Amino acid sequence: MNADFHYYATYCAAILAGYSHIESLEISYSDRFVDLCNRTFLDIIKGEPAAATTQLKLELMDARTDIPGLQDITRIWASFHFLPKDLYAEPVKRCSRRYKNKYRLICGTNGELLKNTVMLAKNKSLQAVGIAMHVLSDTWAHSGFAGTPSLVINNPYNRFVEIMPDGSERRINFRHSATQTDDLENSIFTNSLYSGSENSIMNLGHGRAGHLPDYCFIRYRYLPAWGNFEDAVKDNPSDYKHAFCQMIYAMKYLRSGQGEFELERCDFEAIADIEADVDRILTTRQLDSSRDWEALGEKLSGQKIEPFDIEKYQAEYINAAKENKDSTFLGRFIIASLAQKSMVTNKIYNSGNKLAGYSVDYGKRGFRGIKAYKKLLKEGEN
Amino acid sequence: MVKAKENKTEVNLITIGTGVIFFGLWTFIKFMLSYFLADDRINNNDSGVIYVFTFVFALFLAFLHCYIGLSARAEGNGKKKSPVYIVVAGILVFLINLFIVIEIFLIFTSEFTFSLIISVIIDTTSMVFLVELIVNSIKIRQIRKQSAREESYER
Repeated sequence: MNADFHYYATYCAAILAGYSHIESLEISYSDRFVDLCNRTFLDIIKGEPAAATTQLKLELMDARTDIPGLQDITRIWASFHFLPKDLYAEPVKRCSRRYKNKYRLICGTNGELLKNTVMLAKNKSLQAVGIAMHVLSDTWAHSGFAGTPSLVINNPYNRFVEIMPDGSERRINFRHSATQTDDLENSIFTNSLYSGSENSIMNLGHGRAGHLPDYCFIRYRYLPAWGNFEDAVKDNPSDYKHAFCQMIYAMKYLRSGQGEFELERCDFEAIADIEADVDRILTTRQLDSSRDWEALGEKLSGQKIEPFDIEKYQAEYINAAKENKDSTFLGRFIIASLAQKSMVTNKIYNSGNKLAGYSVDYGKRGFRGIKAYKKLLKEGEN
Repeated sequence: MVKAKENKTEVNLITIGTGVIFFGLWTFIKFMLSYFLADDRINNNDSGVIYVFTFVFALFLAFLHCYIGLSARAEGNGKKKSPVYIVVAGILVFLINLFIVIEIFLIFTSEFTFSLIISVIIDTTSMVFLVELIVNSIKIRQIRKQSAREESYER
């Protein structure tokens, strides 16, 4: 999903879930920040590199694609942007172990890991809530793609067809251009270059489908590489609406701190009064819906939503004393991201899949491994 | 299920069609190389004629391959194509078979054994491609006919 949904739409959902204006801003800031917290940024603020929730294009270009390198990439992308739906899924046809492991990392909605993600944020900081909402909404947008570089999973056949609002169909053409924006009038979009190498960075996530999964207005049909030649139809307006309503339900649940989070549940009633506005935003053919979501958010809260500023909390973190860093905004975000990454990596590892690397249940075996995660032990004790 | 079969066959046609085009390029290169490598054994008086004939024939074969490959790709992309290219592919299969037989004969009678063996292998592959193309082209027509019939029953 794009910045418009991760920041402004999350703000709207938080307000509808009952959070205050300030709380909603913190949640939506954290949600948006998941797409910006890379190792370069963490180097600048001297934060924990292990807490990175994304990678810059330049970082990906430099990333190694040997086994440890691939595990590092998978840990980040599968934990925050392509949460696997079913770690025990069985492909339809007989296949190798290697293929099965990648198949099991395919992102999808309402998987067990989503429940784990939301429950992990229960009774935790607003930053943890924001991260959980980012992960939740990305499961709707990015379903059908995996957070690991894989040609056989993430390289769909070049048969994309846009389903227009009047029901007609138009072929989607892709081009490779670092500078030109997507041409909505003629259905020409930018995607990543084709690479025949299985583990090429070009085959990470939905790169080969360009930004199609991140546009809220588009409906399209395509042929996934893993789908046994069955067509897949993505109805983004419907999916985004479900994501929005599921976020409202999830945040209501997290605010209450009671009971268990239920999958397959979306709070459509909460948007009954504004459904027409939401539908209009989700179906308007534009690259960026920020202004529309912002107007809706301000209407809901009656307050001005400040624009997203990546440097807003930097000084607070950099200037804080070492023992106080964890209680700053970015400090809490770092802890929440370490917890999310640790949880997802652990689940993937325990399912017998080493694509995200090794994981130690430090609660059972005592601490070993990456020093950064010691913070989580301290948090647990607190 | 039918749609999945149709998708698979269309994708196959596009892939095989692309392969056939590249094999056309190989055929052209093979003929031209055969001429230039056998240059010292061709009588100087006839060399011009032989060169022109070789060039035209090689070009013609390459053109046939391109025509078949592009038609298969178009059919794979959903366009309606006449079955002429399938017939042409069948004729080409026969021709390539002839080439293979001649090459096998030459393996035992000439001194260019190694290069002829390579040629036989590649020509066999090319023939397999063309046979696959013919099979998939016929299949896609049957599938589309079946889909059209099912759609008319539903209406």
